[in-house]
Amino acid sequence: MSGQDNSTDAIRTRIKPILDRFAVKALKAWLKVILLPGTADTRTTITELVVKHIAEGKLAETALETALIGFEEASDMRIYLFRMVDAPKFPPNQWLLDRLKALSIPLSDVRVFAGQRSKPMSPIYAHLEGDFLRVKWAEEHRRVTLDDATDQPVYVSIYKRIVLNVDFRKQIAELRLNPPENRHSHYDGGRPTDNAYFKAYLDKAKELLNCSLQPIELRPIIKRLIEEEDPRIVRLHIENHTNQRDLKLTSKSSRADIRDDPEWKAGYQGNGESWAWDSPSFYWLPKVSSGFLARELFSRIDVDEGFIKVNADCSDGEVEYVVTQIRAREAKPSEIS
Amino acid sequence: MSLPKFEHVKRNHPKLADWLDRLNVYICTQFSSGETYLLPKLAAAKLGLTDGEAFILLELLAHEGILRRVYNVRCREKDMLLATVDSLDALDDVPHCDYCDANHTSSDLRVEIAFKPVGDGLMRAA
Repeated sequence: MSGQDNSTDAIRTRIKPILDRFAVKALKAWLKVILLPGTADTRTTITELVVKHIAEGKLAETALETALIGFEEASDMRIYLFRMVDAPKFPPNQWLLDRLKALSIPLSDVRVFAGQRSKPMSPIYAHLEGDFLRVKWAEEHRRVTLDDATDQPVYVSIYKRIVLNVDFRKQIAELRLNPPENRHSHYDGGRPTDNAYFKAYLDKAKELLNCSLQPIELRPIIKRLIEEEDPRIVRLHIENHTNQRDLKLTSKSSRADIRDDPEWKAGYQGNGESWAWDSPSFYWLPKVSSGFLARELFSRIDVDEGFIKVNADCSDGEVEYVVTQIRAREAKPSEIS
Repeated sequence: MSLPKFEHVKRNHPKLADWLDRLNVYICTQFSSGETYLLPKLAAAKLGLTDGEAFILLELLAHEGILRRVYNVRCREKDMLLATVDSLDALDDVPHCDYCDANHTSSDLRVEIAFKPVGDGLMRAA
């Protein structure tokens, strides 16, 4: 930026407070994806590496800020995927602008950090770019624990982000929510619940888009991911399924792929065709990601709850890769649907 | 199973007749091997359908009075079956959870739709 002090000290002063909010491992992976790799494994060294890239003109501060906003909008999210049903015709024009206005969601040319918003469902921005809409909300939750020494409750404020991504051309939508804490403003039966929190934002998304949102079927996607062997796109490290006797079985492996275990393989070859996959955890493999991933990326698909969970500190690009891979394996509707 | 009611469902939904026949075989196999209820997700896995598609087929049979919809109530924490009830009103009467040794409130429970045969016609046919 013109008039801005671009000494390394000044850059460090500007970016360090924001950089400190994100994990070193995730930042390192992001730098590698944008072809700015370096040896940095600590908070100090990753900060110095980023400062160096900015000072040398290899990385713009605006690009860094956009990436970090992406981290905020992708990390530690439960991701729900939908098809839009009976949606207004593409392209989204005046009706969408009217809806955004009615819901007090400011339309913005740029994406911004959420900051610390205490009110439930505080709208941050809506960003419309061609066929794509992104909307961000934020709110404060509190985690209450009991202090063992004093027997008094201890309240900790935690700020949550909620992001809606819409592709109007493909008629698909994606809702990302940080997991709720045990104290928040969405009640069901007199107490805050996970489901009430999710439903509040689902209802808001439907109201904004003026259509139904049909969740995609996750079980067939898991089946396809597990069947894909050449090449493997994921490392399956926690697998659980229900068999035809309604018996739930779980296999866990810290490092290996469960599919390589002879006992698991024998069971799968004998009966796997009729297993109902429930809540497996995967690591998405970088070597088959065409450069989208620079590290193994964790995700868990929870079929009963209907979401994909990604860990704290993921980049937007990493999560977009996971979502794209999952969408690519959706079952085609049959004549029954 | 070749119940008149089942043939009636097939006549009313000719495009689904093949799927219904496959479901019929599945249902007979499940009940003859001692299962007492059907889960859409397991029928889906066996027949190569999505859960939603299997649910639609089972619901068709329920609509015709061949099956009836019931609700498996599971402990959300331990994912264990606590009870099978006929209506959601009965959720207030779900028994003590032995696995947690607690009386759960509704938000601690997860409800799963299942299907049981109506009467013993299906069981005898199986």
